[in-house]
Amino acid sequence: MRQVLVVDDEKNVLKTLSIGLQRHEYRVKQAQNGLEALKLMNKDKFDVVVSDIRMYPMDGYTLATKIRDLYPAVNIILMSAYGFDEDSSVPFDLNLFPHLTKPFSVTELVNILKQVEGKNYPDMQRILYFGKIEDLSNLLPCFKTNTYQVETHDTADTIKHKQYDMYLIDETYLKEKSWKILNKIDKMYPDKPVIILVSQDGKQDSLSTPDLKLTVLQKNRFFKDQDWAIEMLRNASSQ
Amino acid sequence: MNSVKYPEKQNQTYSPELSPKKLSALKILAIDDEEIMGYLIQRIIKHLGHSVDWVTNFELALQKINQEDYDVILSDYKMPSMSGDMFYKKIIKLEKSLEDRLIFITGDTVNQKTQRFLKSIKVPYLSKPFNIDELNNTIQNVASKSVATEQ
Repeated sequence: MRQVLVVDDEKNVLKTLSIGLQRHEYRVKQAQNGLEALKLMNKDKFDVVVSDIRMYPMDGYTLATKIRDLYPAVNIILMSAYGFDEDSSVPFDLNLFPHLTKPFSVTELVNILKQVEGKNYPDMQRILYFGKIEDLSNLLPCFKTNTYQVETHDTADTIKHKQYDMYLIDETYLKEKSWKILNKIDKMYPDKPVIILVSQDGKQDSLSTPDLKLTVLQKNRFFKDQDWAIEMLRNASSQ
Repeated sequence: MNSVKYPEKQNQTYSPELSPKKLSALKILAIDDEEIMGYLIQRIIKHLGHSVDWVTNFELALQKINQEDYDVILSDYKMPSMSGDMFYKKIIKLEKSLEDRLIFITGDTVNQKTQRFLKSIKVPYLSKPFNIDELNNTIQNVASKSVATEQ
């Protein structure tokens, strides 16, 4: 079942939309402003966010921009009671997002939801990367086209807050901390594949143990050879 | 892609607390010049519930063996600076009983000379790719043997 996050500072709107969407077989969660929405998104996986514009402490435009940045696979639908055209303070191209002017019916919203779902990446896989994000810059565009979405962190604490589909650890960057992180993942999500990047230049550039869901890869090749990197990600997740 | 094969029994677990037959945690020295293999072996050994030190050459290994008391010494046979048979000779010169703690890992193709040598000594060996079950069994066998010698 698809999960939608509805964001509005008016409780009545939240209630009406939630009930309406639930009747259309959507799972719905609610937030009253952008900040609250981001907190929920950090804990839970959503397919679509339907957000009002005028809210405090974080408005809908800011929220939409942040979601684009942090969760590129999540679709965003904006709604406003004030209309969109006359507002010159709009900070970005509204055409990027489907938008609705209140009042609208739940059926209208569901129609738009169905449209954006078609455009969604249904197999988007979330990867948590422990390492230097600059190292990944070469790979990020091709990750995205291959439906991999990367978030980056360098502390083990992140693991507790959110579940990912795969973990990527740069051992040369994290050193002994890698073991701590590895043990934590092993304990909390033993079924999730882990890839460890090591610095070796040698005969072998990959090795894996399917029953430990662990793959060790040569770092330089991974960062430079896009096709190989994607192939390794695929192998790791299909184990 | 090279891979270490996994056991066929899907529900088998290697958690130390769930394997009743297991000896208590062992102290293992792993010797492999390849970082990728070294990392994976460390991970597997830790997963099997043992502690592990990993070194990348025989010289460092001999130093470590001098300093620490290992239950099992798990070593790649083919190393750049010294051959496995030389290492074996150095080890038994150091302490004859150490050969009971040794396990060699060889590549998938082993030349006749190596084969003859490995057959002539009492040291068990695993060929790559080996599975975790095999490694676990070999480690357990060697450990029980070396424990028996100590008693």
